This record gives sequence, structure tokens and C-alpha cells, in this order.
Amino acid sequence: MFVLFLRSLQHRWLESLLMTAAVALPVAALTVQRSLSASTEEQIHAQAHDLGNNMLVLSDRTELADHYALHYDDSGMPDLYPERIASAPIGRHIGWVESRLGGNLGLGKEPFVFLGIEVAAGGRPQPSLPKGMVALGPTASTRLNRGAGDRLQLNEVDLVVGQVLGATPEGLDTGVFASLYTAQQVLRRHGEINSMQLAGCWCSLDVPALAEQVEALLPGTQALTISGMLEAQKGTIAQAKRYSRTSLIAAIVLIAGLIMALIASQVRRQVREIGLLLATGAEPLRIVLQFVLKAAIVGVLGGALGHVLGRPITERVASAMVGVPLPAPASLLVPTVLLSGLLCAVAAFLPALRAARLDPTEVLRDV
Amino acid sequence: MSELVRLTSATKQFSGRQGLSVTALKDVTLSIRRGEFVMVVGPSGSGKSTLLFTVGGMARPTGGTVHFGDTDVYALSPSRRAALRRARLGFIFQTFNLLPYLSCLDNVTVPAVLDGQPRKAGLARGRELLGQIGLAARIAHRPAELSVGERQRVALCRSLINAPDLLLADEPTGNLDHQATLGVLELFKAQNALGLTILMVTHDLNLAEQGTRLIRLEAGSVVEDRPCRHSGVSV
Repeated sequence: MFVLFLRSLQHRWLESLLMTAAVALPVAALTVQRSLSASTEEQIHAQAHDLGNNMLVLSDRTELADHYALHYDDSGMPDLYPERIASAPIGRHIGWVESRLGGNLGLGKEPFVFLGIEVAAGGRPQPSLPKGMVALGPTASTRLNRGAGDRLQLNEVDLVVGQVLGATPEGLDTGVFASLYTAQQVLRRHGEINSMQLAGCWCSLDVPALAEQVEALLPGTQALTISGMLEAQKGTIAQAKRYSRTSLIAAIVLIAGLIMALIASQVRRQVREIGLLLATGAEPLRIVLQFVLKAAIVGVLGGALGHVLGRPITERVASAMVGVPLPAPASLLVPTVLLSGLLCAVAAFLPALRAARLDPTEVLRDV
Repeated sequence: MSELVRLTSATKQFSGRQGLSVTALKDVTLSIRRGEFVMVVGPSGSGKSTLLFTVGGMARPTGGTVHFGDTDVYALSPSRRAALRRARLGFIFQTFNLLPYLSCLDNVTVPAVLDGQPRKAGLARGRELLGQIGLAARIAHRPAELSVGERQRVALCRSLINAPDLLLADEPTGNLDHQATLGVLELFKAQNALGLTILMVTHDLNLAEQGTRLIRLEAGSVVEDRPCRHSGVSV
């Protein structure tokens, strides 16, 4: 019986391929959507983890999303701001200040993110990378073909590679890390920063009120508290989850409907074949299994194909649209394939049952 | 000759639309003995095909019983009845019903595959049968590449692959020209001579006389049951 099934599948390969594609497309869309949803949530949690209970100070022209989308714009603020905070009355609540200046650099066709970081504690800068020295993310090292100790020239500034980082902060594999001063030289933005992170012991303080004081002290900035940010983004997560659930249900209904209609159509077109098999002694259960198995195979292949298609769409197209890296979680492959196969098998059951209940005396009767 | 099939007061009614019912078989009692070549004739709608399908375990009678040997066919579960059809009955139809995507040989082996027989043995038996009817050179051909006469011969081989006790043929020559009809009939006779019992439905009264026994149905009832006039004479 399995031989017959394989021959039938082979004979109707185009139809089977189209059925597989019909399953693959909603699965691909669902994979992208799930990745977007999961990634949004992960990004928000990652931001909160990176920032801790701190306060983030940005130029008021900079959107937080832009800031974390690694697209550093030209908005900036003077790098004397950390000193101003340290000397103001609110300075006693601030434990340390991290100043950053970031920007995109293109070398040939390769894009890099150049990031200068300086940490000051108690008003005094802490030693970081020496001036003129950079640390490279692993991808940046590969693309620039530079390792520790090599020389490098960026924007006509001579630099030395101090080290190649194994793991990079915020997933910046293409990042080139330097001191704030070096970044200002390379990016030609002398005396500028584009964000500050303030940390302190806020447990007994009114943090929103403190944020207002920071903004008053530093005109042209916006101070975001992490708790406030998370509160605002809870809505985003909830909405993403709602979309995710809705699209999952829509995909299930769509796939089940398609498979049911396509299998029913096959049954209609193969009535004589089914009648012959029943007449020559095929058990009805085998007829059911033939169609259910076919649908399950289509579901498994469609699920796998959809996932395979969904990965590059997520990683390239959706990432480019959203502006943040969106890795498609590999752990979704097995559940996607299983769910898709099971769903198709269940959807095919009713038309398969109809096939098994065909009356051979009706379909084989020669008019 | 021992009895192979026995119908006792077999009645088959079909429920039609608007509550109207049609009686296709009316209180039919007959028996078929091993080795008989029974021709069933009658006008359209007289119940010939219904008789065939009822004997074949595919149309449960609304009244009466059908015995195949000692087995009450419709007392069996659907699964056991399917097994009976696989192992002991062969079917052949007017429109051949060959699977278009299978070669002649693979079409012939379908019942063997359904019966779970080893593929190698099925293929060997299929080649042997196709060779016996002069289609050895066509085993790899698809049905669309054969003449209608050749297709019906392939269908005959398919019905014989599991060495059935009874061959049920529903207008097997209905689509064939005179020459092909004679060829198929010769094959039937040859199989009958080897001991195969055949129950064949036909419209052709001349052809009907080539069996060993003729049953005439009218309005679902047996109105004539006699030996064929040309019994034993080849055409």
C-alpha cells in the first residue's frame, strides 16, 4: 500500500508541491511574526538588563528606538554635561556616569559601528582603553582582517588594535570600541556625546523627580528612567502578544482550511481510483491513512520549508524594516514542523473519511 | 461441482429522493457452483450490476443472505469482508479502472500489494500473467499507451493476480470492438477451463450464450436460468 501511496505522490508531485507551498507561506509569515514578537520582548528585557535601575540621558532629538537600533544620528550634547551633573546638588545621588558617542562607519562596502565609552565615578573618569587604541568585535576583526597588535587607520586617524573581543556588549559584532576621546577624534565630533547613563542608589529617592532635575540641569536632553520605560513598553509587549496569538489562530485556520479543501478536491477527482481500491479489498482505514499521511507529509515539509523561508526573511528583511537584529529562534523548528504536520493530518481527516466511505458500487458503476 | 456462492431471498432496495425507493433485486435465490461461467443478462436497470456487487460483498442486501462457500458474507466485519474480496474475488469493469500513473505490471500487482504479499512474488506473478495474455512486451507501458483491448486484458490480469475463486465481470466487453471482445472472451474461457468460476454481466445476447449458464434478470427478479446454447463451443 505504501508503494502505491508513493507512486500516487510521485504522479501528483506538482499538486503536492503546491500544497506544500500553501502550507509553507503562512508558516513563514508566522515564523517572522513570532520572531518579531519574541524579539521585541527580548529587546526590551535586554535593554532593561543592560540599563539596570539606572537613568538614561539622551539628546531630546534622539528616539530611544533609534538609539538602540544602532543608528546613531547626528544629535549630540556637550561632553561637559557629566561634570555639570557631578557639581550640581543632584550629583550626590549619582554613583557613576557612562558617556557614549556612537556612529556608523563605512569602510569600502562594510558597515561598522564605532562606539566610544567613558565611565566616570565620583566625578573622575575611570581608565578604559588608552587613547588611539581600539577593541574589535569578532565580525569587525574578520572584515577588517586585523587582530591584536595590528595597526588600523579610520577616518585618517591611526589606531592600534588592543584586543579582539570574544563577546561584545549589545551584540555589536561589527563594533569597534574605543575611549570616548578616540571616538570623538575618529567620528570628528569633538567634545560631543550622544547619551549618558547615570547610576546611583535611588531606592529612597523619587526617581521621576530626579529625572526632571536632570533635564532642567541639562537643557536639550531627555532623562528616561528604566522603570518608566518598562511601564511604557509593557503595552508594546502585550500588543505584540495579541498580534502573535491572532496571527497563530489565523494561520491555523488558513492552513487547515487549505488542506481540507485540497484533500477534498483530490478525493473528488480520485473517486474511481478509491472505488477500485475499495473494491479490490483495500480496508477503509488504509484509504483514510493514505490521505492523512499525505497531508501530514505535506504539513511536515511545508512547516520545514516555511521555517527555512522564515529565517532569512526574519533575519534580513524584517530586521532591515524594524532596524534591530531579529534572530529567528532555532528552537521553533521542531514545534513548527510537528504542529504543521499534525494540523494538516487533522484537517485531512474529514475528507479522508469521506473517501473511505465512498460506495464503490456507485463510483465504479459504468453508465 | 460444489457450491461456491448462494443467494437466499436476496433483496436490495435503494432509497431514492422524496422517499421513493427502488428495488434493484427482488427475492433472488440462486447458487453458483465452482467452475461455472455464468452470464447475467437483462435490460438496463434490471439489477445485473447490483447482483454482481451484492455477490462481491460491496452492496449489502436489504433482505436475505449471501454465502460465499460456508461464509455469510454480510455477517463479516467490513475489514474481514475486504480481506475476502482481496483473497478470493477478482473484479473487472467496463472502463478498466487502471491507475494511469502505474505501469501495466504495477497495475496488475495492485491487489497483491493490498493483500500484503511480498513485492517480488507479486511482480513475478504479474509478469507471468501478462506473458500468458501476450502483453509481455508491454509491462512497462502506462495504460494510456495501450489499446482498449490491451487495457482490458491488463485489467483481467489484475483480477487474477491473487488467484481468486470467483471472477466478477461487469460488462467487460462493453467498450471493446468485435475483435477485442472475442479476444477477451477467449481469455475468460481459458481461465474458466482452468477452473475459475466467472460471473459476468453483459448486454450482448450472442456473447451471453458463450458461457455455461445464462441468468436473465428483469426488474430485479430472475426470469430465466438455463444452460447456454453454445456452451463449450468457442467463437
